[in-house]
Amino acid sequence: MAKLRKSISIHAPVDRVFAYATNADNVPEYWPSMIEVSNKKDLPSGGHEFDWTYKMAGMRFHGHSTPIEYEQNRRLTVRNEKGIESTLVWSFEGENGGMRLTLEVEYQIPPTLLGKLAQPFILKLNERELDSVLENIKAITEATAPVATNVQARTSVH
Amino acid sequence: MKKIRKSVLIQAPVERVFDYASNPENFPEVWPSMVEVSNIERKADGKHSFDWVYKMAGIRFHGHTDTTEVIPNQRVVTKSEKGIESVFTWTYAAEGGGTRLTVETQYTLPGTVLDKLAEPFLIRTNEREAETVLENIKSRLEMAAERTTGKQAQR
Repeated sequence: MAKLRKSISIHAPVDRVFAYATNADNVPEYWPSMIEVSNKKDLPSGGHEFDWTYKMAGMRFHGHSTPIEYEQNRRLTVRNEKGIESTLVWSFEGENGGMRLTLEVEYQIPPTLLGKLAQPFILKLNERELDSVLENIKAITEATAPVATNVQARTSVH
Repeated sequence: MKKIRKSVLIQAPVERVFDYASNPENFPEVWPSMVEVSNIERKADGKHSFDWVYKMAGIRFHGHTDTTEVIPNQRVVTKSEKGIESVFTWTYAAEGGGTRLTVETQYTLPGTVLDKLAEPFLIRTNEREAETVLENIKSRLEMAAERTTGKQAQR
């Protein structure tokens, strides 16, 4: 299993970052290679399960995501099956008036990709992807009033 | 029109960088938000055209790209229409035994993404995407070279 751990400081309240990052509807917005999320089902224990289509190094994979640990505004652990087997641990901590978001990922590189591309390249690609994910969440959740208005407008777009 | 200019030094010969980076088939491999490339047509003069699906801020756009200028191992200019209007200029220059790859783009942010998210965020996201594309091309070519070298060393 490959492992990644990335962390970022965000100048926004923990509950705002948690609400945004853990909502599956937002994943294609902040995760560049997440092509599609569908069949989202809210769970009574918190969080939701959903299907996804993800592109890794040009190859598409379909999978299913299920939360295995949900602690509101603190932690979400998600297990992904099929396509790309992985576990994601999202941690949310208050820090200096803002918060620190940490994402840990353990994943199996699909064998079909390993037959096509060098493993160090795939690892580097995924590391850059995670940097973009955290930077995007930071930029969106730090945005102030004008964007909040746009978020409201988004409801009517969908 | 928004503008982006990014550059990277790749430890690989110009011909190899040009062959890889000017082939639209390779775009989805190194370009995170490039969902799909299809209907690639190559012309005798080295120009090509293709259709694409690109995701910006979670919204998918469909478009078409035509090469307007190609000088092998030096320069490629493409123009994209529909979905997201843009002009890309890719420049390849020998430098220090490797290649300096530079991409310059001029693009228009679609109204649908501007309705959804703030312009500064979209501009920053697209800048980061361009940096990522160049870094991924660099990794793809340099790491493949390392692997080849490794295999040769084993023989």
